[in-house]
Amino acid sequence: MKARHIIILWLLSCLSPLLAQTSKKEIFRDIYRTGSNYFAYPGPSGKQLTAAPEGYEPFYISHYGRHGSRYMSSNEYYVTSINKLDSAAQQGLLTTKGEEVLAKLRIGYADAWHRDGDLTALGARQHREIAHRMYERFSELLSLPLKIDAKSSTSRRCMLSMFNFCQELQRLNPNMQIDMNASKRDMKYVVEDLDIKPTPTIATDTYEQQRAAIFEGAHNPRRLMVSLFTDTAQVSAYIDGRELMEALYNVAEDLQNVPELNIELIDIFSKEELFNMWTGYNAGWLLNTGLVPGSTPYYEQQREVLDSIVSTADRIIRQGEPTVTLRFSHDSSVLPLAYLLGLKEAMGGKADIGNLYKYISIDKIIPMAANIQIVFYRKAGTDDVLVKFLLNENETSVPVKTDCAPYYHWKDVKEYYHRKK
Amino acid sequence: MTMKSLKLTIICLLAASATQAQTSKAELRVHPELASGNYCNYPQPTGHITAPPKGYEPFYITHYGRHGARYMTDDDHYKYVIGKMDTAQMYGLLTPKGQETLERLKIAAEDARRRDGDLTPLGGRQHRAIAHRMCTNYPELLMQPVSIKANSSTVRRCMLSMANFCQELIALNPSLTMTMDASEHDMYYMIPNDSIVIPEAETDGPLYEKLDSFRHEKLNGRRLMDVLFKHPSSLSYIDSIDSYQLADGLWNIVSDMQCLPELNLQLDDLLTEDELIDGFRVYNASWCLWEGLMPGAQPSYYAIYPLLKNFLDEASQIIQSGERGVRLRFGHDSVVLPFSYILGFQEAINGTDDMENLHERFALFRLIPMAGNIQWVFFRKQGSNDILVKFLMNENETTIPIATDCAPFYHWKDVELYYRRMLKDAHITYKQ
Repeated sequence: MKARHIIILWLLSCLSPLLAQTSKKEIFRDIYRTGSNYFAYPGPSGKQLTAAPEGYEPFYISHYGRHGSRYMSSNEYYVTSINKLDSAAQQGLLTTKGEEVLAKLRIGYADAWHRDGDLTALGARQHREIAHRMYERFSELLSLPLKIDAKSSTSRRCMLSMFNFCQELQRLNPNMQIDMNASKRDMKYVVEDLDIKPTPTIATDTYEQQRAAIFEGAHNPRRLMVSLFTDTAQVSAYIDGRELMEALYNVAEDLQNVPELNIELIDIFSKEELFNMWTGYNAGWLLNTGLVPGSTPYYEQQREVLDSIVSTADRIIRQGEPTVTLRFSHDSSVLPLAYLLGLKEAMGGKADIGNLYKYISIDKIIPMAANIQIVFYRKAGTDDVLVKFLLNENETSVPVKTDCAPYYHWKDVKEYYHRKK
Repeated sequence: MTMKSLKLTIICLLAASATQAQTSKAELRVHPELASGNYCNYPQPTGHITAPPKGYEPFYITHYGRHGARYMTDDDHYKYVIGKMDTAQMYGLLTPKGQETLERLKIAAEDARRRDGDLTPLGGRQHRAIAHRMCTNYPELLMQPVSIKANSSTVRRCMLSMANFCQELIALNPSLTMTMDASEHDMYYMIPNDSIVIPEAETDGPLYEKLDSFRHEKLNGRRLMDVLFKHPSSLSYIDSIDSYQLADGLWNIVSDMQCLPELNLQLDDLLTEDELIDGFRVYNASWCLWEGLMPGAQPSYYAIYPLLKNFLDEASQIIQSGERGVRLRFGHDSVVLPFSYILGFQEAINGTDDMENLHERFALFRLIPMAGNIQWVFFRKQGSNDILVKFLMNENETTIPIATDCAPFYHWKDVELYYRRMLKDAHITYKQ
């Protein structure tokens, strides 16, 4: 490699984490980003996709997606907050704001009743829209009479995401044959393997203490309590402000996933409070996945899925038949996969836990309906296969040298995965 | 009841009993594949469709279907049979036939590993085929840009059945609008509602005792024990094998092969024709009693009344709205069977405690094969308020026990009155 190329590559690798940096200002612009993994899918940026080098045509897409918007996986947060506010209401200790909040909570809970963890109508739409765009963006491939293999986690919201996605594809191209399945038998190709238990690293405890300090510091309920209750001293006998704040955060953030309800509770928090709580959640996710240098490498649990993605792609390249592979899973699967694939949004974690959000911000990686698409291209008369990576439908980069960014030579990408093991 | 309607009722009931399908042992010998109880592959419908009276057009279909072909819901049968045979082999107590059988059973068990209760590819195809026929039989409705609401039980095989069904519909008519869901929220009507109090029946206990003897007699497994195992003269491991459990296990394993044609594994030779049919009779009687369809049994079908109410309420709603629509529900045999009984379908109402002969008047393959389903198809005529409805059991036109002047069509006002009264008379109460 020429020295000049090396310098450019080095510069790029220094710059790319900077490009992905997240600021408080950015979060304030769309406060629902503070929902972390509750953040409803924002859709692609609108930036035009880079055309493939001349003569290259897409012949395979490997898609890995999280289920769409969902109800909270447990209604406990509703129960806690309604119980607490209700008790205060009995004693006439709610402010006007508190009363308004309680009324909204009741509506939200009635809607969420017996729907714990269910896909919402918005979640279904997100998947139909992603499928629709996939068809439009890669219609050379998707208008063929493809045989498509779709697999989902055994969780209902993932299955329904798959159904909605596949139905939209089928609507656009009635000649497709899509085989959908969700079996425990196939889970090692679809979700992370929790039976793999990476040995905790030395730094884990220290990191955890730092995270807990940020998280607890962010959950300072003083202002919130004053806004909801007329006598905070009196209600403190039966209300733990810290617990209530956490419950209300979860409820308020998840409501963005049920827009039909037309209820907002996000304004009970200041932007600063939301931002602070979010940094705590963000750090928690990154540490629990192992994306911080020295943290326990939990992403190893997703290694087999990566291997399956690579080997399936190789088989399809060998066989030559154009197709699409669809997998539907969870946030806890997409995040480690993004890291294992080397997507820039998931790289660059720093030991500086307090400022971790600046380097990796999970609302950019695992919003509801988050997805990673690897698009494969080939050209008649050559064996060279190019790939590009899309995170949430935006082109992204991996730390592999290339002469045709955002496209990469598949053989170089594979070598990188092999080395990274 | 007026004289005229009484006459009509009698004519209807006569017609019903005349067409009522009888099942003989001879028939089962010709079609042993039907003797697989609730594992039975979905039988091709007769294809006979009576044209509606002039001017009537279909505008609504409401449906409840069982999931398609599946693996066994757990691996208990494999565990018992293979476990016992494996140990016997270790002691050198398997006959050559036993050894060879064990090999085949292991192939089947390996294929089923971690697939308990999963829909098989055949199950997916069954649902696509039913959806396809719905479109071709009622294009005036299904080939329009109508809205379809689909719900499934929260069990994966039902959800995948729904997905396959809906996928076929959208492939045939991309202008359909569909919502699919599978939520605990809807389970109160989608599956047997276990909050409902089931009235007690004094004769229930004796019926279960009778069934138990019937099961042990028919699935005695004596021949199987001789064919598969060597019997040394002294006490041996073989004596620990429960021949009934072995026979029951093998009947289930053999029958479930109906769901797995791709596996291409022949197990039919393990059971004689009589054993196969006896197993069928055992499960026929068991289901009839379990669901309360046998005179004197505890009426478990009370747990299905919320589904009837859901059918009625949603039908009334769509009729009032003047819209068109299709309503799909995907669930289980434990709903389809008692629901067909509540509705009074001729296939389901002739249960008897004469277990020896029950199969002659009540046969599971007509009721709950894999993908078994019930459809109500509604018709209306421009300029008339009269709504007609017909009932399909596994896509074949069937009858309900009320009078009509246009069988197999019924006047909705009579149907609704009949079922609403049934709900009222049931005095449904909920557990505290």
